Amino acid sequence: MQKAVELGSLSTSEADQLSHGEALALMFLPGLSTKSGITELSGRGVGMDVVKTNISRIGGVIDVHSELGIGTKITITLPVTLAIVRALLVRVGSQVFAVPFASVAEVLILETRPRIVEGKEVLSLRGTTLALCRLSQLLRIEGNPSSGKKFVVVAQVGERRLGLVVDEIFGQKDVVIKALGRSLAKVKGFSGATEFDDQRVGLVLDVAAIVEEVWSSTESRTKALSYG
Amino acid sequence: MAKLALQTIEEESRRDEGNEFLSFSLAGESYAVPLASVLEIVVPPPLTEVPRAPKAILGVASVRGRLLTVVDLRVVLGVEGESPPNKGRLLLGRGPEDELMAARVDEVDQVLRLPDDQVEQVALGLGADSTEVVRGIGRPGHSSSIVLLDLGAALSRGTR
Repeated sequence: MQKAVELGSLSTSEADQLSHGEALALMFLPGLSTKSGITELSGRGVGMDVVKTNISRIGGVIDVHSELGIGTKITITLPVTLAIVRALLVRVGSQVFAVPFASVAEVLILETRPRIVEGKEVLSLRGTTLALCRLSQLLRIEGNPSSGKKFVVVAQVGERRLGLVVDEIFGQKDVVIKALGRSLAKVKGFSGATEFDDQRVGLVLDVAAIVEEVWSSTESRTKALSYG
Repeated sequence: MAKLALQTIEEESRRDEGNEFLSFSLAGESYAVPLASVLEIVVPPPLTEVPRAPKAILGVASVRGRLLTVVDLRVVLGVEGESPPNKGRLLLGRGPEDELMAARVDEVDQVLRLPDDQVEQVALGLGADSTEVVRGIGRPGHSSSIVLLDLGAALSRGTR
């Protein structure tokens, strides 16, 4: 409290009237530290201010309860509104991607050799024809195409279905989607990225954009064929 | 009086800042960017390639929870030669539209103080392209030479 008065953020008379809670809240003031000297790590009065600012920025609340001689409890309450999405983690080559569950209809093991229709690979699935798209080709990912067994993630966007061929399926996970920087806005096929436990970043596939891309390329080719 | 002295110190430090550069190496060559344009230097976290991104974009990485686009300065500058693997540093700076981005360099060297008479402006006509990223040539101690870059312009160029 004395420090806050020294900093000029509080007058002496105000300091006398502070409640216990108000006094604790002083720790979030920028530039205020209980330390008198500066070490490599602490003493600048930055830490708690940064914590509070960032928690407030995402709509969270921070509470402090402290009793002399007993201890201090800091409660951080965060909103669940961060974009958390259930996703299927798949491997293509050496890269792991997240496919949002919302656009996954089912997952198959690619057992039979796909047929070729009009230059495109297709699969018969319970009486319907499913167009396939090898993600390694679409995204031009090289290397490590696995022991041979491949999987098909059947993506459904509206009425359109597309089988995305991947090398491995790791299972599902709740992921927090973060937006890619504007510097990558021109790169199509990804709706964002997510951070895995090991600090690695995995890209989240923009399934709608991929389906659109594959369909429009098919359409233009069909047109070219009929005109040719 | 004390106030005046303080003002002078502030002015002086501001003037110094304009002449302070952070030097680093890239494929064996020395470069420098204005120190004020470098927000942070970090050890590169695991990098994830972004398929179909421009060639100069190495990928994305998470620096304390923030997703950053990482640019390869070698590609931006058209420098040949290998960078030592598993080494390097990221220089964080502002790219186009003020976006926080990272530029990968091989090794951060030191902070250079270059008085105006040790900075040569680059003659126009070195190629319209290089003038926006290259700001000049520094001659520390009037001897060796070091290429002075504009970090923001380099990051912008990397995204094209």
